[in-house]
Amino acid sequence: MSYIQFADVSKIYKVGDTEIHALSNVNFTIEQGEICVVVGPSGAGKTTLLNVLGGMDSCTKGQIAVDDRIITDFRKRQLINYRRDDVGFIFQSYNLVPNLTALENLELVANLSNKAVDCMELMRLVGLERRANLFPSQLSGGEQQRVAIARALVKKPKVLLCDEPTGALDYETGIQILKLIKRASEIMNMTVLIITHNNAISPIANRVISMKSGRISKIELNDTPMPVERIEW
Amino acid sequence: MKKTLLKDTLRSISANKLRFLSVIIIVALGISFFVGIKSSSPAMGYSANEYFRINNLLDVRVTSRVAFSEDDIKKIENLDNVDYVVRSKYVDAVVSVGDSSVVDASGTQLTCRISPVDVDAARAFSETGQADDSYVNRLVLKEGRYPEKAGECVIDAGAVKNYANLEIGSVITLSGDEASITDSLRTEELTVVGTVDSPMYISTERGTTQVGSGALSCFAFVSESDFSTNEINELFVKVKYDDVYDKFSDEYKEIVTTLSDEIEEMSSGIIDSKLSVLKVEYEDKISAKQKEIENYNKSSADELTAKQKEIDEFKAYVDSEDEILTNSKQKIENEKASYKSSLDRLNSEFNTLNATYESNVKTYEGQSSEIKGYTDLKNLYDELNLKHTADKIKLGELEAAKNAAQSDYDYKKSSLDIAKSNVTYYENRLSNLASEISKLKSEISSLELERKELQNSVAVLESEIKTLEKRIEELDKKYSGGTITSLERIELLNSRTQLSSKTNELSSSNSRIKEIGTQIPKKEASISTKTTEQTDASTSLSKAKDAVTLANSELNAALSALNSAKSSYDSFKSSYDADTATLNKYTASMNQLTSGQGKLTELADTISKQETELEALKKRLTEAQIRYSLSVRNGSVTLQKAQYDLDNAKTRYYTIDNELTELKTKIAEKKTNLNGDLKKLRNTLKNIDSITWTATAQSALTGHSAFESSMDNILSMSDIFPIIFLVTAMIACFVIMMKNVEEERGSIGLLKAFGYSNFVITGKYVSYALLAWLGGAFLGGVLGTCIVPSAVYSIFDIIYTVPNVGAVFNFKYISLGLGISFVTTMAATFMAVVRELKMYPAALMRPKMVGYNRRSLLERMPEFWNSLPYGIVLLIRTIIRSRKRVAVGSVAIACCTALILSSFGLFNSVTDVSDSQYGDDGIFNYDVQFVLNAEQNPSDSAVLNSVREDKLVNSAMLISNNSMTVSSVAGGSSIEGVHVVVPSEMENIADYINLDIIEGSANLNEGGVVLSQKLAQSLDAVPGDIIYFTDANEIVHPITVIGVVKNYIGHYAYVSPEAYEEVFLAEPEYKYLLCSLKDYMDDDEIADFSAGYLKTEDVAGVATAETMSRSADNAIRQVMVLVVLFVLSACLLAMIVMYTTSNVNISERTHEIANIKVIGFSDSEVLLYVIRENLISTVIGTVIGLIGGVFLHNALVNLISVENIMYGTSVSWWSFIVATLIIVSVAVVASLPILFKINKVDMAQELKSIE
Repeated sequence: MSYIQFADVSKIYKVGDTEIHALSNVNFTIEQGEICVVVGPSGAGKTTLLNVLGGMDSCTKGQIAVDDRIITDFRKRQLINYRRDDVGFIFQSYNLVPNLTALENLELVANLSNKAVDCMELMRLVGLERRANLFPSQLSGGEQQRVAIARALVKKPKVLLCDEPTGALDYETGIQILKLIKRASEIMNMTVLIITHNNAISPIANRVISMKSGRISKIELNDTPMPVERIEW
Repeated sequence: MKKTLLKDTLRSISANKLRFLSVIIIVALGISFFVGIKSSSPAMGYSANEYFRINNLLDVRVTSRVAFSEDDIKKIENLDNVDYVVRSKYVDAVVSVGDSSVVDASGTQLTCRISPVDVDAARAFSETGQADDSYVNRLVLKEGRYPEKAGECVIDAGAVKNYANLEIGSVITLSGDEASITDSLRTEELTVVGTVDSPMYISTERGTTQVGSGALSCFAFVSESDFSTNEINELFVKVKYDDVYDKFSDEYKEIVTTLSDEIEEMSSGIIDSKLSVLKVEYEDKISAKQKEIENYNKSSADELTAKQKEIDEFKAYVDSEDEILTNSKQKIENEKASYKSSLDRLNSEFNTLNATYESNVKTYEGQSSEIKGYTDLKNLYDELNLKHTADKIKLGELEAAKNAAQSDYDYKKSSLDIAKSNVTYYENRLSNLASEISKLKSEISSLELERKELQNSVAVLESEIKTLEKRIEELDKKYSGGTITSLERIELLNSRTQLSSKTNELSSSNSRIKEIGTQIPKKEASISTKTTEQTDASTSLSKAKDAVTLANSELNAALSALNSAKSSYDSFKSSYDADTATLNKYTASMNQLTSGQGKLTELADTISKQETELEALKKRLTEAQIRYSLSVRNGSVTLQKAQYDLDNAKTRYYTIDNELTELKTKIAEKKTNLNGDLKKLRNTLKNIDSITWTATAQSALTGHSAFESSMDNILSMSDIFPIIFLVTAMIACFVIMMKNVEEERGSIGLLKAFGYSNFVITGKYVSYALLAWLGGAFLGGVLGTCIVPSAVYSIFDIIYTVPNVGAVFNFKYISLGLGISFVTTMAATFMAVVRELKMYPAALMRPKMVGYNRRSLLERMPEFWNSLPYGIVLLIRTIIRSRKRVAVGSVAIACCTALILSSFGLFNSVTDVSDSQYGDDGIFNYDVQFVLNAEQNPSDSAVLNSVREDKLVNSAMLISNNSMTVSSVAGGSSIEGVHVVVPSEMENIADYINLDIIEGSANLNEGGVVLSQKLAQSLDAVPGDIIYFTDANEIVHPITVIGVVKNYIGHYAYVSPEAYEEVFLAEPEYKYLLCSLKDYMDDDEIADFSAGYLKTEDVAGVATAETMSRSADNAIRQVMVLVVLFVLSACLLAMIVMYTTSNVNISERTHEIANIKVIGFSDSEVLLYVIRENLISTVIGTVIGLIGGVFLHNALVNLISVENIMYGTSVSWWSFIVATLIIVSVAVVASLPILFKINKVDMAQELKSIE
């Protein structure tokens, strides 16, 4: 059985009388340790897919299994624990707590987890050990995103979900961030799901899922992912 | 404004109804409190003014001790400003109901002022509310009706409330001090038919009087016809246009004070002429009185002497009679004694004998009954014995039968034995024979065997012999031949011997054989004889056996016969034996019976002997008794006669003696009365010089100044409470409006981008604010005008009879409150909008940039900072980040905590009062205060002595208690109803009154006055100051203050007897008796105790600590209203402020909340994370509020203190706890809705990437 499995997953939003099919009958699998890129235009349902996989949202129909556990059957408390222990999130807009320094942002998560990695160690990993005591607003976008990655890694998640991690960054920084994500995935044997509308990122992935209007249009497997340095956009 | 924009505004209201509502409530609370409390005081003033106007209250009251003449009245009427003058009169009296005087809360006698009322006008006014101007000080009928006939009155409603035995239907008895009541009134007894309030007395104080203790307790009105005098001693002056003035305004006060001064000045001129007339009159009266006293002294002395003489004569006669009586008594006694002794001796003898006799009889009876029991037994015994004898015979028969059967059996047995022995014999014989036969047979066979053997050996022998013979022949031949060898020779020799022995042997064997041959037939013959014998024996045996069988059967028959005989014998024997045993047992009893009967007979003899003896003794006794009673009767006849004579003499003597005593008492009383009259006349004469008219302006009427100061108190209270409230509310409102706008920055940017002008955009938010403010202002205005003043006034309701008119629209305060709230709300909105509008639309539409956080000072010390636990770091970050909100929250919580704590504190203070004054460790330690009918001399007072001898009383002391008016400067503002207490025993005062010193010294011997705390405060007097006492005669006495003592209820001034005499030029009148009772007595027992003394002639009234404290307790309930009002509104305010600030907080931080939710915070952790600042502000606010509350409470207590009550200033510990609990639960409750909000935050939505 694959590590992540989507079986006939549909998500329908009801806005007034109209129904929006954000996901319709999505089926795919991702193996453990893979880097999977989900591409598609805006409104293709990429973020919805990430939300339901991350336990931030429920799906209307179908089953999602992660590491042999069916998360679509989870109760609220189980979902909280799932988010707390198993899933790391990286957002386009970093979503750091502005009131806390970079290090404290990590500690916020570390305090919740009992398998937390040493926070300062992680800051070193993302190369920000010297800037650990600055507030998010004092850091550049790339640095903030690196803090966000570090924060996602604190709890050693099984799955790392990245929503347009490079969306707000320039090319160079974006490359850096992707490298970091890839390295972390290798070190921690994490399964990574990157959502992007930037097709250029696809070559680095083991698996590329293309989406369109809430449906999967194509799944490509790539046995020889390209090193991050070589991609361009 | 554009229609769409208006829609938008309305939508944003409905989208967050609760917040909009919160703004409304905050504004409403702030305004209602501000307006309400601010306008409470004017509302009271308005109510009072209305009350005075409708009831046509006098403007100046003029009284005179000398009646007004029409001329006098004319003169007053002609004064400027005077509209008209109404004539009236009054008389003050001491009141008692039933047997006892009524006693008021300070333990003094109830006094009453009786005035006439135009009953028709009063009734008409009560029914229609209309009356002529001439009906002034119109009464308000509370209960019952107005008088309809003579002897009926309406009485002070307040007094009925306070004095238990005053009620409708009770009959009050009036008595005057100097003059008789009947000088003024037609009757001394009045029936209460109704209760009224008078606008002249709006407080619980009634002013002063010249009767009783000096304090007026109540008033009453009777119909004019009940007054017998026509002298006008009271005038009510109305000034022109008095309705126009506010009665509390300086202008009005100026007018009436000036007028009263004018009148008083005028009086001196007018009254002088009258006074000289009066003086002469009084001087005449005095000399007449003196003469009367002299005459009386003389005449009474004569009368006394005559009486004394008469009594002395009679005394001698009585004595002689008495001696006679004593002598005859002695003689009779002697005689009686001798008879008595002989009687006694006989009696004792008789008794002894009788006792023996009776004990004997008892024994006899006992034994008789015992024997009777035995006789029954005897009958049983006899019956049994009879049966037993018969049984014995039968038993003999049975035994004989048994023996016969036995012998038969024995015989049969022996026959059997014989038969048996026969059988045995034959059997033995047979066996012997058989054995003999077999022996013979065996002998035969052995013989035959032997014969056979012999025969064999014969044959052998014969052969051997032959052989031997042959050999011998050979050998012999040889021998003969001489061929014989030696050996053969020997052999020949041997063989020859052998042959001879063999031949011998052969012959013996042959003889034996022959012998055997003879023996065998012999034996065989013997066998055959034996066999025959055997046959015979056999036959005999069978015969014998038959005989045995026969004998056996016979024996069996005999045995069964024997057995039956035996068993019948045995069974009978056993029953017989049982009977025998029973009989044996009975036999012992029978023996006893016999001996008992013998003894009984002896006893009966003894008894009959004693009976005879007793009979004889009785006869002697009766004789002795007759002798004795005869002597007694004779003696008593003699004595009775003597006694009768003596009694007669004594009766007459006592009659005369009583007459003497009565005469003495009468003379003494008369003398006291005369002297008292003289003293009073002299006093009056002395005072005549100082008599003037007394003109009292309305504002100086009793209670009016107190009412005014209450108004002032509320006014000053309104400077603190509502302002705090309003400020808190406005800060909250400000924050909310600011945040409200900030939250909508996106849509502001959008509107701006669309090209809406700043004005229009501002309009949108201003209209939102305006709507909220309007709602709040309306609500607050209504509450503040209608509800709050009534609630505030309700605490004064107990003291003042001024009815609460209710809503008073106070434009000034309403507009002020509305203005402040309007400005705050609008300013907040404007400031926020303007700030946002300064930015470019694009910037507005982006999320607000969060500037980097301020670093706390602690971070400057990295080592320390890094060692802090994460929780503390978060806490500090939160405080720094939301310092404004924390500040606002803290202020709100602090204000509310302070309000709640001070409200509870107020409650504490009020409840403390009566306990502190009358409680166990309070100021007044005595248990009971008696009001005595007559003035007592402390060194020789019968009442005091009798009370002191009472076993329930610990100690008792006389005091003097006069009610006076005190002022700090002569003629300055004064305090009425100050109790001037003079203890008769200076050294013991601490046992009754706890002079707990605050300032100066409590040592009365220093000669000054010690004031109670509140009195000193009101007079602004400190030790060393001189204050002025005005007595009932309006004479002013200065005295130095030496100390101030703790006191809670009432005004007291303590003076030593010496100082009193020195200052007041009179001896203190000791008419009050303080009692300290034994500790174990409870309230009921104390009540019983005092009721007991109330029945005695000396005691006019009683006050116990319990009854005195009861009236004070009423005030507590009133303050509760205010406490509840304050606590509730404070809670509401705190809750709304907390809710709104945290609500705003949530809206602002949804993104952050979504963020930490994604990280995996559970709802409760998120709640804790978010409301952390609420918690912080709760803690800070509570601490500050508790501290502030103590100060606020102190300020409050000083402000609200009414009249003569000194409130406690301490806040009890439970108030702190309850206040904290309330405020914490308010904070918790206010935070609860946030939980739902947190639940509603949509993570996916909030964290969506911008694509």
